[in-house]
Amino acid sequence: MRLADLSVAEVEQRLLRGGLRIRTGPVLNSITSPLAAVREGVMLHYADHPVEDATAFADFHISIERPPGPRRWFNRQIVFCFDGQKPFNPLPGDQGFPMLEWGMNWCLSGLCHQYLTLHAAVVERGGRAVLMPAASGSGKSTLCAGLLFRGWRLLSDELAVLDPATGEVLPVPRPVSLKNESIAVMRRFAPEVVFGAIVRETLKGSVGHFKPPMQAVHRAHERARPAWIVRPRYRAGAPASLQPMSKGSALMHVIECAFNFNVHGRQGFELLANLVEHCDCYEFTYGDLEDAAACFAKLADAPASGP
Amino acid sequence: MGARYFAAATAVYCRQWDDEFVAYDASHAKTHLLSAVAGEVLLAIQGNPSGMTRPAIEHALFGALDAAQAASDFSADDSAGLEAVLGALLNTSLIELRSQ
Repeated sequence: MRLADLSVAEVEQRLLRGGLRIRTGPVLNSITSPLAAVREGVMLHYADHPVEDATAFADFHISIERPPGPRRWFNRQIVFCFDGQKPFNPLPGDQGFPMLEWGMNWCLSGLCHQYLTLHAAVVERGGRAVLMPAASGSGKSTLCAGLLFRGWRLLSDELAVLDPATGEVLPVPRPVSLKNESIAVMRRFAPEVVFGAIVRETLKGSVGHFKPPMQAVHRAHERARPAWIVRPRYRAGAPASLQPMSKGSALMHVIECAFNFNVHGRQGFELLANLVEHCDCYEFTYGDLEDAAACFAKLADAPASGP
Repeated sequence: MGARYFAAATAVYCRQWDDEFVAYDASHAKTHLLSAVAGEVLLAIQGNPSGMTRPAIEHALFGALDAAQAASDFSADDSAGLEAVLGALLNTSLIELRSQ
């Protein structure tokens, strides 16, 4: 059953009482919240996601709620709760949906140590995945968002989830998060994009999420084999430029972007070294999404170089 | 005073691509990008679990980098360079000093 198959009242009831269980790739999230902004965000962005009933085993029990005390009414705040704990400071009351998304990222990157997770966007085409590991502010999410509207499948705009046993990337298609100027850039680049409410004055500036493409959600069970590692960097006015990156530098960069590399120890090192070994590695500078998409199309059209 | 022996730290794992080495030190959870010379020195030392003296490293290094060059050609610059590499590897704890 998809979330869109539930009525508004059913979604509201599940969010209030039983926890709304939404599957995002390999994990089942139980989400509870009395906030209308969270309900509206979930209904818009997760409409195509599978939902399970309240008896299903959930990996994460998450809630976004109002704290006790006067902050319930004055200068309203919200808190993220995970298994009854509150790991983060409260945020202003209008940031419920972004806080849910940030909290879900935290659960996956910080708690799912059966996988090795990288701070990276991942898209796939023709069975081959591009990993784009980069720090926040590099332009990786904007590039990822643009590629989704030029024939690439979304695996994740934020977290590359690697299976240590196979080296494959597990898809975790979720709402794509953009910030500040990138929101207007995306609206011009892909007028059909469906953004939810834009939340202003967050710690990251203005934040907007758009609904993941339906086909990406429907293909969430289809893993992909990494073929390229691309370190993206946005520079205003720069032409799209794909320059080879040495394997050693690529490995160091990928390790820097790993959330739980040291949890995996030697196995993690071997996994990432093999990843780099079998991928073509590049530094990518771009200043325009259309140019960037053309560059990536050439990449996808080239024959595979690895095994 | 006995000879100084350079020995590899335990739980150091390496990968090599052309002239780049990446070494992961699992004991300290640190990763290092090494030059070709530093990588060859580390591999040579790793290949001798009981440790290597400085002359033995010089011999192994010349064998690895340029088989045609005799150890007797080892210049003062080469010696200073090797000293710097050994110092850097000691500082990163990829190797350690032992006396026997």
